[in-house]
Amino acid sequence: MSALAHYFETAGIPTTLSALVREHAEAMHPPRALAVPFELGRPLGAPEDSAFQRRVITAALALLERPSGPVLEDYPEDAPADAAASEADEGWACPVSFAQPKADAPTTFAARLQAEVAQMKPWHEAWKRRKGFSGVGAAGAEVEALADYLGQFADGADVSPPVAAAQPADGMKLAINDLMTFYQEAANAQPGTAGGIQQISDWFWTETVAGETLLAARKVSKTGDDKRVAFVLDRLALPHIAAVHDR
Amino acid sequence: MPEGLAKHMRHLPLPEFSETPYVSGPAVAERRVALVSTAGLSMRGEAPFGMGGADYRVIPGDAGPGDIVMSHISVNFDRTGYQRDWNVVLPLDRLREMASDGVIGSVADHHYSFMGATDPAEMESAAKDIAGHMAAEGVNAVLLLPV
Repeated sequence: MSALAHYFETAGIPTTLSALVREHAEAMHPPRALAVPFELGRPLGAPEDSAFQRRVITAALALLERPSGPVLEDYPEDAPADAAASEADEGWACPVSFAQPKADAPTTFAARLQAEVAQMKPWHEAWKRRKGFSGVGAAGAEVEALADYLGQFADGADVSPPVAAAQPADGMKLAINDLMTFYQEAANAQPGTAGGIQQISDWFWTETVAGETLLAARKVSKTGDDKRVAFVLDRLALPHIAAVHDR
Repeated sequence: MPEGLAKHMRHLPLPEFSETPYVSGPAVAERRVALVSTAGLSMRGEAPFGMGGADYRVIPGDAGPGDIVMSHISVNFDRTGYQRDWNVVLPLDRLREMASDGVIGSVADHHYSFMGATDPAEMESAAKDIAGHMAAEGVNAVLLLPV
């Protein structure tokens, strides 16, 4: 982002930015940067807190009035405690209780994932009713079709993504993108509360069939012919969290 | 941020700049403000971002949260905040309020998104292209928001 600031400013357009990684702004010295102590993914710090967002924007825009630069300033305020996350710390539970597999339960990733998606669906519908829309849709396919593809891939089948993408790797990435969004939105729909950042991530990667399927797909891709698909699964689609890699 | 991720972020290769350009302008209350996000946002139905994409998408100033999808390639940032409230990533509602209150001059008719996992040096020509469009509509303040 600091590099983009250089490019825009060089072209004559004044810039200011929210810097989530202070070290990057220090190294690249963009014209104006507000170093913020927020989570990656939240450049304005807090969802559903318009006053806080507005204070951060105001502080960033104020740097435009400095007579000279580069300016790198620290935003003094931490993001307010996420009420939902605080409740989650006290024991957030997924809205869906995943029963232990029965003896005759399906064993393939494709079948297990499809069953789990079906369990999550009512909560995703609840999310859509609450928000009026869903962020799922980048892949342009139904989540069931994406789950079927990802499950079959993890089962070792030779499958193509049901996505109008130029390359299988892009299709894989978009399928994962939408499946994760579907789960995160469904998890956020739990009555009364929603999980915090870490809770939902931990839950997805350590408790769901979906997380298990993606980790299995990662293993399968290592022996496959398409190195770009393997790259997506190994480096891009899975978080840099050691614990989930041991699952 | 988990330490493993923080270490990864600190060691990313970065473009080097020997000087910092600095363009002055009027008071904030007189500025026309555009947003540039690197969250991999595109309009629903539009081509999502691909691997290594250094291209950009245009977000119309009258877009709503349901019009937009996120296709960033990385999972190493929180998306739940954005899912609950798009303004934490793309604060168009906030800018509209600030323009209405006279805190900023106006909100641009067009905003832009890149997909930040790409080497930023590859985005230079796209950024110049966008800057030309911004100048044409009188934008004199860009708020850059990463994820």
